[in-house]
Amino acid sequence: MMKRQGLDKHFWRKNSQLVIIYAFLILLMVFVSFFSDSFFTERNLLNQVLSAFPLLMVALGQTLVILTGGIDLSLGPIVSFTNVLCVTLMNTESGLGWVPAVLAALAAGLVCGAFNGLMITKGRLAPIIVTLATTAIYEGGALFIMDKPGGSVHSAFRRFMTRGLEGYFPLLLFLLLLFAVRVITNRSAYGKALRALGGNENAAYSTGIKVERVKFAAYAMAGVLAAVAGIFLSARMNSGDATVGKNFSMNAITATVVGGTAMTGAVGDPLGTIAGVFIITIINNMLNLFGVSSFYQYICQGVILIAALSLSALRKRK
Amino acid sequence: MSKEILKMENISKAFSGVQALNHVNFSCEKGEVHVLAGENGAGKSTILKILAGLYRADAGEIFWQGKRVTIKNPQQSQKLGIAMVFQELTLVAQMTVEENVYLNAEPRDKFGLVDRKALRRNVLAAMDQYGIHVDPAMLVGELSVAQQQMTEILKILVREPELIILDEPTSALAKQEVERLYAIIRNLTAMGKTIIFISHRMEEIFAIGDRVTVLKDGNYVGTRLIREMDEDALIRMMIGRSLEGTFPQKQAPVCGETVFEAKHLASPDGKLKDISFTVKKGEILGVAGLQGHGQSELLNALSALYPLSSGEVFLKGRKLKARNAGQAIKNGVALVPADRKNQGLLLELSIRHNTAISSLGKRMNGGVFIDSRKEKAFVKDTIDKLSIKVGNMEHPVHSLSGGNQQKVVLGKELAIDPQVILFDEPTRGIDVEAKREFYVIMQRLAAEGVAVIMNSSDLMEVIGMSDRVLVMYEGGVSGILEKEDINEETIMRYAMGVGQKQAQAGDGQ
Repeated sequence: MMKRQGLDKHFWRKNSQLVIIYAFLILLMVFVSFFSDSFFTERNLLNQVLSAFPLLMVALGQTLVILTGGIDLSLGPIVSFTNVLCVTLMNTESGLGWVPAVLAALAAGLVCGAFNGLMITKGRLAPIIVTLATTAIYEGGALFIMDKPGGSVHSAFRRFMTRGLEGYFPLLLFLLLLFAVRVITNRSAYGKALRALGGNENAAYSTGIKVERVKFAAYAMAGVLAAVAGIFLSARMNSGDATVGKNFSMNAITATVVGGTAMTGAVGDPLGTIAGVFIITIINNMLNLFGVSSFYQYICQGVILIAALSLSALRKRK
Repeated sequence: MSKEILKMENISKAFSGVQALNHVNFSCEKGEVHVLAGENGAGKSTILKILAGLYRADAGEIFWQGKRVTIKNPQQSQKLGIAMVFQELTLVAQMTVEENVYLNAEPRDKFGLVDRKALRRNVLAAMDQYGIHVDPAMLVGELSVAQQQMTEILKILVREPELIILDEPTSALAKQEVERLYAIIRNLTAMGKTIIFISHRMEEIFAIGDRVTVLKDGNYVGTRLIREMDEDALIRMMIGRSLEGTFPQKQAPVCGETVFEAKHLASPDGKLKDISFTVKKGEILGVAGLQGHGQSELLNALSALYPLSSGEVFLKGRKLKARNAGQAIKNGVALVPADRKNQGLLLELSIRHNTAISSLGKRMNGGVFIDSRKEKAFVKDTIDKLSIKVGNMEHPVHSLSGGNQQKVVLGKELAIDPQVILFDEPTRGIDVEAKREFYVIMQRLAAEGVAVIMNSSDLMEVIGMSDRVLVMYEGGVSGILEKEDINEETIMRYAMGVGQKQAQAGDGQ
């Protein structure tokens, strides 16, 4: 019965954006497959997930924050901070040495995100200012822990994170977290509150929504997702690097916007964000494949962001 | 119906020194429609916002079903069973009708998630029950204002409150929808719910109300049974303030020559409908009406800040064209806006900067650089002429009192040598002495031949200052009053749309 209702006359209006984004993604993949015969192999697709995984996590977190009408510039530095923390605390000698390190990194991500949330709700400061400031703090903290790249992680941990379950572990973890985030944004009452306050904060407040709590939780969850990215990177690189998260904040914003989430809040879907991440990573891979210098890749990234923003502005004008 | 459900006693509330409510009493009986009436600024919205948890009273007690309660935030108010339909809607444009209706009250499934089937089922059932029909899957932003209003009302109803506050709910509704709303209200009171209703429309008050409580200037006037009253008695309760002797004598007689004329102004959104008037030399034209009937829109439209779909404006017989505010200023039309903090001033910048900003082009060196000596002299001159109390002209303008800030706005506008000056709520939030100074300046301007148009929600100000009064009702002119017709009772009649029949005669000059 729900199926029939789901496909009512509003289906296209509600989902046109997602359909367009995925159509674009598929076109892009087909295009790339002309240049690389191995593109549509299982192995390559798993590799795509492996390389996109950290950005996927950060972008999901960014989506939660942007749905509230906010922005989090400090997610990249949280990735760096949790990355070096995880590597530093990891004891490669003991069999269970990775557990406390991973838990500590997750907790650190939670604390960083919660601090952002606290400053924004209780401190009544603008998200862009707060997270600009905490960007510096978390970045400094990461450099304090590990001033040059190094260290190594537990080898069983590394193998499991990157190649576990016959190479499917990253994909499964990603799908699990995507499912969780999408249930939160699209199916839970919390998600409705999140969007409501992104759309009209006064309305949300007078409807009795605990605006501060909802906002705080969004930043805290984004911090945890950034920590997952940091932990995963420690396994994939088998080392820690205090600058590893450098480009993540900006890339996650780009992916979220490309994926159809409005910077003004309320409108958007994590599924779109995911497509946005793959679009960005595939374009970058393509540029690599063609031997384009990484300077141009930065320029390309900026152009994509502007294009995506202008598209959504155009749509709004209509 | 005799059980008292709500009692508010000795409620007081002040906003930055201005007493909005002064020991007001208000009570409701279960199952009644209680109308709250009074002029603009009488305190109606304030007392209801206290009840809804949006403001906190400075003093006084609230009893709900006989028990003393404190209401600190909207959640607490809602928990008691009080719901308010606001003038500004509390809907989220980007969400669907059904999501909005059940926002923060979503039906849950066994996993604790939103049960979308139940949501749709509940919303359709509620729509049938109350006879409100809007497509539940539409985005609220795509609905008409009237549909949004009905959605808002439905949103309140599904929360099954005991007491429902409707703050001018019919302002956006067409006649048929108003009938629908009446039916809903009667249905609700039959179920034992209580309604508090703010309305400025006489016919509505008498059509739907059981009792009425009148407030005036933040004071409690009285509570009466509506069936024992008529329109005149109600208007008499709402008016009757004393003139405070703040209004100066007129300086120059009005002569017959027309300075400014507007013909058939209308806005595309229907907020302004076929407005025509003239301003004669030496005259102050007052604009009056109850809040939201198009007065501010009219003044903004005259200075090209509000879109017009038709109509013409003439200054001394010459037709004016203005597509934007800059052209309006070039034409000599100045506006002293109602919201001086957002529309009138650059709060963080200096007094000098604010005073000079609209006439910078007059004091240029070689057409490129601002001549700061000339500018200082000009600002000094303005400060003296308007006797603005200023320590140092380089201080930020927000360091001044409200009255002096308003004078800076005026000084800025006078610097363009206006032919027409529009005052929108010129004395809101300023002290008595500054008010009096303002009145003198306005009369001096009129005497100098500048067409002065003043919109004010303070009826006494309109009466004390105006040579003629244009009264607005639902975006149109309901009457242009002269001489002895300029009194509270007559203005209120026209403002509430009851004086129209007799109005035609006074209209044609």
